[in-house]
Amino acid sequence: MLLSSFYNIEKRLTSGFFSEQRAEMNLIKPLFENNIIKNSKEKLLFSKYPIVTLAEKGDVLCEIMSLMWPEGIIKNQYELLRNFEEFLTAIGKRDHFFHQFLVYLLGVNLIELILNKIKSTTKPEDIFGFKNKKDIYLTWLMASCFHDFGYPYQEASAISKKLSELYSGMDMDNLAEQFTTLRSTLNNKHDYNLVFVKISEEQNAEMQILLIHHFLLELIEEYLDIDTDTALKIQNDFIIGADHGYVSSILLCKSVINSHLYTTTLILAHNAPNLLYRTCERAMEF
Amino acid sequence: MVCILLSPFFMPKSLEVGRVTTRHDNKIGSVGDNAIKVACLQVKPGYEKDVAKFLDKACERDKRVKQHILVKGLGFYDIIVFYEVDTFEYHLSDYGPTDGITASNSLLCFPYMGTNSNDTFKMLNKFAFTGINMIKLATNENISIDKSEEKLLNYIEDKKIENYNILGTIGWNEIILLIGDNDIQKLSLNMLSLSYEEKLECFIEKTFSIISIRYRIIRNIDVKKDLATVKRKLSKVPSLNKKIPEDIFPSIMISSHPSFYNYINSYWIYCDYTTRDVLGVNDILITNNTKVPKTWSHFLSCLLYFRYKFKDKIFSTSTLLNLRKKIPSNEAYIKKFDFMDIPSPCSTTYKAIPICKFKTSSLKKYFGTKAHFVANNLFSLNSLLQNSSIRGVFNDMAFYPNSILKIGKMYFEEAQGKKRKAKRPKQIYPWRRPVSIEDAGLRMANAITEGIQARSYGIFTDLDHPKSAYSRIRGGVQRAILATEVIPHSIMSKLRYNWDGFISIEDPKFTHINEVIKIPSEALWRPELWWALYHETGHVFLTRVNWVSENEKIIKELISETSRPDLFFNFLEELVAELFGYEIGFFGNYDLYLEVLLEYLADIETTQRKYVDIVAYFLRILFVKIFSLRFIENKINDDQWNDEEYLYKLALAHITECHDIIKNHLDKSGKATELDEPNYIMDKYFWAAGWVITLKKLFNFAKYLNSKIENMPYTFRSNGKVICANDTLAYKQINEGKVWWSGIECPEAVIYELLKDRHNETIKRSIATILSFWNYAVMP
Repeated sequence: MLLSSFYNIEKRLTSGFFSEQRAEMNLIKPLFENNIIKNSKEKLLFSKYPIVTLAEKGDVLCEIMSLMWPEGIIKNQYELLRNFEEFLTAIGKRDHFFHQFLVYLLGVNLIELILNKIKSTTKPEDIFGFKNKKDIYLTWLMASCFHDFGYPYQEASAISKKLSELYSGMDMDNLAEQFTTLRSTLNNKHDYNLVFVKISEEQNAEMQILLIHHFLLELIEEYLDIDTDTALKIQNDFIIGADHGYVSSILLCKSVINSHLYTTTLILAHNAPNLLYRTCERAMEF
Repeated sequence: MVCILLSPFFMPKSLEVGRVTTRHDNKIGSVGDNAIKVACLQVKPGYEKDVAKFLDKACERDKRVKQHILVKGLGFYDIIVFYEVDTFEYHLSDYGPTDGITASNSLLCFPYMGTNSNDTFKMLNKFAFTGINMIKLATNENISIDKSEEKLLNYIEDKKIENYNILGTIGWNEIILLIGDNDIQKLSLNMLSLSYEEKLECFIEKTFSIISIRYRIIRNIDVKKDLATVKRKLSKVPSLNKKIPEDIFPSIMISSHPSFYNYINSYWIYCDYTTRDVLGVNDILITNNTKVPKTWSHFLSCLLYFRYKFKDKIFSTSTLLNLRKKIPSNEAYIKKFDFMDIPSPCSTTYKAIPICKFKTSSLKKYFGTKAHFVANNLFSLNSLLQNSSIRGVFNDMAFYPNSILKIGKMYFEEAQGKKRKAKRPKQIYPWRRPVSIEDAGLRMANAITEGIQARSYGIFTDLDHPKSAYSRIRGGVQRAILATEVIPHSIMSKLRYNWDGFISIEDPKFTHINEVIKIPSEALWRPELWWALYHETGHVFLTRVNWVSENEKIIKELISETSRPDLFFNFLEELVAELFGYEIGFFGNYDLYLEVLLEYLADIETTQRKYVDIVAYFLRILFVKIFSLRFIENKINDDQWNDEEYLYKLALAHITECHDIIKNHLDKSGKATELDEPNYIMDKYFWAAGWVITLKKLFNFAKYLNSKIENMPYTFRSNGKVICANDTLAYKQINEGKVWWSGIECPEAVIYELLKDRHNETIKRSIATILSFWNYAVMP
């Protein structure tokens, strides 16, 4: 940790916390107050997050994620995303690395507000589908902190499209073809990692192995109550457009063993405003 | 006076053991119950009544004033008000300005030598006249202050003065002897005798006397009517309706515009007085026409009516009481005068200190455009140090000018570096808070101005210095200033260093400018606050040992990681000074240190926040705590210092503890508010996380600091022991409101005892502490 954090601290001693820091602190504080974060190691990391410098923030966030993320699932991928994020921000693209965490914090606060509001009238499972608060927060952690993992692919795809057009225009078809290949990866039936998803409806139940695109199509149909033809069209648009929500849901599907179907659907739909609205509407119906 | 301060080193003095008891032992050094403030005012002629009414009302309105009395002064001051209060804080100044006051002086007094405040007011109320004798006692190698006090009591007994009362002061003069009488003639003789009798030997250095009349006697006299009415009314006062004896003759000095000379002369001739034109500050002298004996009421009537009648035509009047001296025994002296050796002055006050010599060209080199301002301040101090009647008050500042020159030279060379041919450098401390050399000079010169002002108020021997209009404290506080100086002198001398600075006053907090330590005015009469001097002395100490130096490898490493080395240096210096204060003054009692510091910070929070947020202190204290746990008490190891989780828990518990202490203190003192929780509690997780980063980073620095402390060849670490047993005895006596005359070996031990019992603070104990420390400062 650089001493520049110290500088931040000393500066605050005379000028108080900066407004951005104060905003982040206000999102984190309820997590402590409502015992969502109990353990002192986690508390320390969450407390460091708003006060350290931007350079140090990434380290802190990776540490937070390595502590918070359920064991055996997607470990260290945050570190990988961070490395790519540096490249994207360097070319002027919007931050998604910290953004996911801030979405998580915002969501936790909202969930907490809802839980408090419904305390006497409604059971949590009626709204969130889980009895246990821990499950609600875990689901939200995955939904929020994974929803943009497909973003690098979307950006890379956009770049490769431009490169493909560039070299095609220069009559360098082979080179143009190379960049087109990247864009068709999602349809690559030979890529084992992109084909299957292991899923079980109940814990300890027998695993089902599904084709990933079929599985996602089913989610669109079933969870969003959309007919098969339209769902296929939507899926096709996602694949052609290298939609980062769709890619993120694929990444989650292949990592998560237990059913997190809402989570996956939410991630899948989050980049398509109409679908996202439908997702929420459906969630409320459920 | 100030013999210790005449020496560049404050050497521990041999403590007097087994003082010989005397018949006045129960009186000498015995402080009374409350504070009495004496406000002395010069009033524009004709405005006495308005001013007196204003003061009377102010005293009645102020609930802190327990009792008060006004007297009319005959002499330098026109109106004097005595009022009893709990502390020396600001009182009457709260009631704003009023027309007619041209000068004022405030004496911070207390009942002394076995009297209490009720006795004082009873006496002031009982007699028509009160003689107010401000006495500066002498001290030298042969006579200590307690001996002088004893001689004064003996003298009062020998003279058979019955109705007297003694006030002590924390100002320049030690004693105010009040003598009450209904017979102004007897009173005048008693008072005049204090100024000239040989019996007084060497124990009185200077007196300043005023005869006063109880204001109630003249309150209802309407001077707006004619002189005859005033005369008739005053002649009804029995004590005034006596003839002025032949050997006493009052006179009046008048300062006026020349165009009114003839009117003034006519008036006084009409009153049957002789007038003389005078060359000098005053213009007309009025003396008694001895052919026709007059009464006191006649004299007073003429004076009162004159001041009203000529109210906007004269500048001032000054009344003098003259005694015709009988000198039969002195004839021999007169005859032998040519062959006589005149003895040297008996008081050490007269000892001259070498003045600061400097070349203005050097000042120009060091301080550029501010050189002349620095020079003017040095000239002023030099001239005061050469005035034998008042230099004793400024002696403690005498070493600072040399320090300014030394610091100026150091800044210059430091900034110039090896480039000898370079022009005058623009900044000092390139790695520290950027301050221009000119500004540094300005601040040091201003420190001299402030120091002089703090010491000028309430000196009576020079008419130019009865007051200092711009003094931060409107009251003589010279004894209190010297008392506080004992602490830095004592600490630095124990560490084998000298202290070239002095104490000055600046509200609201303790601070320092290189050698000069500034204290809030409240600290002058509250020794319970003197512990804060340890921290400031720590800063002075740092300038000697240079532990926080940019040349040290450990410091270099630390600052290489920060973009603001100036803030960082400042922070490290504050940490060392804080640790220094803890180790020097709290004898390992961390709980006491924590409570004392936080209670103080809570009290000054609203003003303090403008300078440094209270949370900054939390961090400093936490550093002291963990440093103590690791290096003093050895309760934790290096791994724990570097364990973030451990530090985080410690920091969170620390914030809660600090908050509880502050809350508890504010609740008890009735200052608690219903406001939201303070930010430091709401944000405690984040503060704690920040401190974890900082503390971890400071581990190597702490190790380095500890090795420095351990390798010092002299006492620094108290290891939890109060080493000066003698001072526990001193504290016992002080706690009873009696001055400890035998010297104080370890002032920190006395302050430590005071702090342990700080919730039972009394003005009596505070004053006894001030006088005991002051006595140690002036002890031969």
